[in-house]
Amino acid sequence: MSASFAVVGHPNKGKSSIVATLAEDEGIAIGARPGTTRDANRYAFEVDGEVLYTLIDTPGFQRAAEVYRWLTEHEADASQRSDLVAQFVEHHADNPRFHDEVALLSPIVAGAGMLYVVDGAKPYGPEYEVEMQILRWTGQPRMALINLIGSGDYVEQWRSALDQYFSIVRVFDAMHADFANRISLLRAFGELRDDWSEDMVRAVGALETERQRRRGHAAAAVAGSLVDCLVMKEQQRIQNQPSEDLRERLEARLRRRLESREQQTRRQVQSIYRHERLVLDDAGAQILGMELFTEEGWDLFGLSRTQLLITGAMTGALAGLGVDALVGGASLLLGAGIGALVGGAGAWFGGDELANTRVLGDPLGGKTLQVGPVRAENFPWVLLGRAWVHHHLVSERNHAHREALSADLAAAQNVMDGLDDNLRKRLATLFKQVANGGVSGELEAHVETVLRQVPGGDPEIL
Amino acid sequence: MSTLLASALDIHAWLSADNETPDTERIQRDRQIGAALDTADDVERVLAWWETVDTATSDLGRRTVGVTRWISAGLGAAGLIVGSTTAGVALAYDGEYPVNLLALLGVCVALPGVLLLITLVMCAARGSGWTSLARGLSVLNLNRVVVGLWQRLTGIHVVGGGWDRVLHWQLVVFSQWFAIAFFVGLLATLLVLVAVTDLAFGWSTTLNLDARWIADVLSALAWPWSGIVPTAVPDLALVELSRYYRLEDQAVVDASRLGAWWPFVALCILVWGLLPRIGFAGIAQHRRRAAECSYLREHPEVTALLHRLAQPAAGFAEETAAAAGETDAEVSWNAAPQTSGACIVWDDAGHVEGAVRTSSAMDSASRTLAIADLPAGDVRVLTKGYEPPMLAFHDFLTELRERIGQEGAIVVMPLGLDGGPASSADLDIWRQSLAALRDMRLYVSGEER
Repeated sequence: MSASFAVVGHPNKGKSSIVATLAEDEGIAIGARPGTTRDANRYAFEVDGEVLYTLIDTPGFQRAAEVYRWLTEHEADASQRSDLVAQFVEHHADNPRFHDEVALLSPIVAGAGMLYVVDGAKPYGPEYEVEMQILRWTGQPRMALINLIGSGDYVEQWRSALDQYFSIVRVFDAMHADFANRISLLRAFGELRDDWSEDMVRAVGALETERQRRRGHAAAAVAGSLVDCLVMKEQQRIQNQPSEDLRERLEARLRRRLESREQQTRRQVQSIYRHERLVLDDAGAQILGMELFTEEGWDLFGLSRTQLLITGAMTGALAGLGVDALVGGASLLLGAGIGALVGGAGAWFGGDELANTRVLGDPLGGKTLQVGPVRAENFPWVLLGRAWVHHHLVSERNHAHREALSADLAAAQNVMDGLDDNLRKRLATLFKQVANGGVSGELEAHVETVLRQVPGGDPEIL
Repeated sequence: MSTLLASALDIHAWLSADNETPDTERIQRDRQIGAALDTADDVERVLAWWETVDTATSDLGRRTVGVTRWISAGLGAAGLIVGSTTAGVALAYDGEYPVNLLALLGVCVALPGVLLLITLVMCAARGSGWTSLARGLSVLNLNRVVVGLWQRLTGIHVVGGGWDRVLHWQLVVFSQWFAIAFFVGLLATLLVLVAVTDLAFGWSTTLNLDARWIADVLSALAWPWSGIVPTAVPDLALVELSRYYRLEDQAVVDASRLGAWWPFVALCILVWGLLPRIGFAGIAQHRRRAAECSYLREHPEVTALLHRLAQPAAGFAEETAAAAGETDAEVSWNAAPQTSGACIVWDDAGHVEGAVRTSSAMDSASRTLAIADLPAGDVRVLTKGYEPPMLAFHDFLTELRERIGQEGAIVVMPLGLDGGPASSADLDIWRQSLAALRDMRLYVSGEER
């Protein structure tokens, strides 16, 4: 039988938050009022249909002293304590007075390990002791988790009390635990019983692979969006010379489609990270909700003029170097020099150009007015920068968090500043290839590298 | 035409629409299919997956197949007509002058050969990244009009992602298909004319060319079949015999010998015209398929699909849990009366001289005993405001009410960590919870004790 873990404890100590974080389920009810969880809810972690472990969210103790009194009244000797707990559950299965206790103890009686959750931000109280006694009576493997709800720090006080009842005591901030914290906790679950460790190791491996898959899929979604946006254009067949009004209408339509494509990608990334219900708060909206074509947004998300110049020059030099190599170096690196000049000049002077408008002749007759694709050098960088910020916020977000998505703009700098020069150069080349209709397979891998970048020494927006 | 392109178009469209489907659903669906697939080839895996999920929502693929077939058939018919007409004109012979071999080979072999060469240069330029040169040369190919028509009739509006490469090879395939039909028409007409008329071939040029040199050139042309069909290799005598000048009287020595050129002509058209086109058409088909495979595979959604097919689906099974969040009903409470009645401290919430101390760790019998000596009247109950009110506390308040009677006020005073009143958020929680007791003389106070 696979491992199962009942998350138990006092009401309102973050049991459901812990389950929501570990199960990555933003649908789990989390409330400030005690009694939000009324029944035991099971969350089975499966790999290709095989259950590796199950988390069980339970209601909190409501009448622990009454339960303990019943147990002590019926106790014959210490060897029968676990059976006695099972008898309590059986005896009170239909008693509404002990509904929560029965729901809480049933999975433990059935063999589940237990994760006893307390709030390390509030002081320890002796009233908890009776709960710990009952859990000890069950005889099942148990671990204590010190959750942190609020700013107080009573962790050491709690640790001293919990160490007497639990073999493993860990601090786990359910609201802010990142992926590494979660993995570390799951590894600790495996230490509770020997025959659970193999499944837990497999579960950890599967989660790590899944994490990589998500980043890969997010990169694919962002790369797909980049490809679509870089070649997106609006066309209309015309009879005569196009009017300014028609041109503006097509341009507006192009912008709307570009923004809609970006929104679609964001929804997709949120779905990949199981954050379908996510909304932006005011600060988040200020950054991520910023219209695609604003000067402020381009300054924030795109490359600076100097970076564009350097990237353009480096890309041009690389192409020129190819010519130098072809003539066996007889050109004395003139190709690289000219390439750098042309590339740099193109980036410098073409940096602000938006969608160009062309009237195309059709081989089958007639004319077509075409607006786009957007040729501004900075455009793909702006798209990538925006996608990076959104991805970072979503991928690091905890599923116990129910507040709107927020981003701190206080220390905002250009988000692409942290990119490695070689990566930037390669991306610039790929953007050009994609804009010219080339294949985009390699783009995805490079976008994934960008998405893997973390703030700190890198972009400082968050 | 392979249906790969049709499938690729439909798959891309389907997957693009599908990306609004929750990721968990996509993983479950695709992994289930992927686990049953027994091929390691990416394209085959995607196509096998498509056969399973295809809901036949798009007719773009079917239309593409249909239009391509019609256009190929049209190009075949046009090639046959143009080939036959060209042969009819080039082999025009009224008995006055023989058919000029140099003009015939120039029109039927050399000119198509130059066009083939241009196509090869175009392909090489594209393969080497000289896309501008490739685009410039493609302007010379009249089949670009056909490709334009093909795009318009199919209704394909694809840009980027390797589509240009597919278009390029589609153009080449159409060109070769037309050329094959052209040469078949040419050959067929030649053979018919040979069979039903008395064709005579000769050669004539203004240039001062030596018959030996011409014989050498023609022998070189005939090299591929010289070992198999030696009679189709012209010798010097025939070459010398076949030269003519229109101003000279044609004293035909042996008319039947001039007709012996036809196997050479037919084999020239076959070997230097038709066979290279068939060979190149095969290569172009192969490259078009490679371009289609690449177009199918390089799409980011397909990359993600391949991951979903291959990677074990890891995640939490759906659970019918309670809905997220909670909506608390608005609870109205009257202001707590000022009271100096007895004081009870619950769960060590504070220290008050002379107060009765009880806790949730005590069972009801012990609690009843603790409050047994309380007089009737108002009571204050100090609690830890930062801890949630549990049902054990509800039980205690019920016991307390029974003890002090219906008239006395019970004022619950939740305290904060600093001993002062609890935060308004905590007070709300207490009020919400205790409202369930429906006790009109029960109050929750946020005042200083």
